[in-house]
Amino acid sequence: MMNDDEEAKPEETPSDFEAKTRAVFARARTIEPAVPPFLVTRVLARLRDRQLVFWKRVAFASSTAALAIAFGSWGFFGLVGPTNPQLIAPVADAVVVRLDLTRFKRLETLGSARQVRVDLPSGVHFFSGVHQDLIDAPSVVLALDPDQDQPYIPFAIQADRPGKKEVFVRLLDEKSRVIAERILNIEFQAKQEKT
Amino acid sequence: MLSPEAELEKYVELAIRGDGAALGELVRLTQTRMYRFCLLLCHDPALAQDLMQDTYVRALGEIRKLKDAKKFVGWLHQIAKNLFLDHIKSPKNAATVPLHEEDRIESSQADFNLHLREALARLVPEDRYLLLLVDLAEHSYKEAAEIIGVSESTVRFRLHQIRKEFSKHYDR
Repeated sequence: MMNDDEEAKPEETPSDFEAKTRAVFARARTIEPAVPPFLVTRVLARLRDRQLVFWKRVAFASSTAALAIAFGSWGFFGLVGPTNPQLIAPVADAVVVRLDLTRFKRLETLGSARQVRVDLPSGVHFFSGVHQDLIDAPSVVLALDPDQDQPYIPFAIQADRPGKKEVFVRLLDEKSRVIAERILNIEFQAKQEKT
Repeated sequence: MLSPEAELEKYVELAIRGDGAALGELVRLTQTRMYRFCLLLCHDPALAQDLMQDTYVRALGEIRKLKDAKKFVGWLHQIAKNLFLDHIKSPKNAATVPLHEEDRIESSQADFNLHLREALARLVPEDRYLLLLVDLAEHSYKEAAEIIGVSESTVRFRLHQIRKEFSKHYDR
């Protein structure tokens, strides 16, 4: 049985509900929540990171395209195992080296590898469309994420002049100690002029 | 002097044309209302902060896709809703996050805030979003219909049901 208050209460119309909720939210709009500090800075930093990742992909894609053009049917060359094949590359063209980590995994020591260090000889430098500072770096250290399955580590290089060069690739453990080493022999050859 | 909305439109147009400095201004001009919206949408301050930040990163990163500068705020609301629904649909986030104790004492408006959030929390996320879109963010029925992608009459009908349910929880 309804009490007197309920009997006296008229049924609310759609406009009553609307007026009521609008009033509630009008009050909510008067409350100024404490916006998290440095939001602008953090958003802009994340946008910059996103753009960096984008340009890294573009740079890598460009390097890959350069390689494809340079090598034609030879395709990628890889650092594939204990043997050190002689590789031939055209001088002055950016070429991508694909470091095949699955082959390295045959080594018992690979489980403790945390970084890959690539050392270049004189006359050879890294190629990057974005990170211009890499061009002058004689070596780079690339981090390996132990939780990620990274079958390949790519890097792009370029030689200034023709000649046989040795590129050292070393696996480092968490204390940056060398646990494995491979030498990549590359012969950079002058481009043949079209006749 | 420009009105706040005209100023916002000016910066949206600058951002669409590639002016990087305008991006920060867009966050500055909309952050309070966006935080309020996110806070009431997900009723968890930590999640609201992440949601708001992700919303800005997504929206500003793709600002050139926005065809009409007037629709910037509605676009932010739409992205926030999509990110929020993705979040709660993820199995690892299935459980709703309870109201934090510290929210209960954060201001003199604490009782009102808590009451409002609790009433909103009883609505399903899609209904909560539509209610906030129109009654908090003050989008018209037509704008809300465009943002959600339904007809204006559907918005009217659904809002009536949602307001009725919200009132039931709020009056309790």
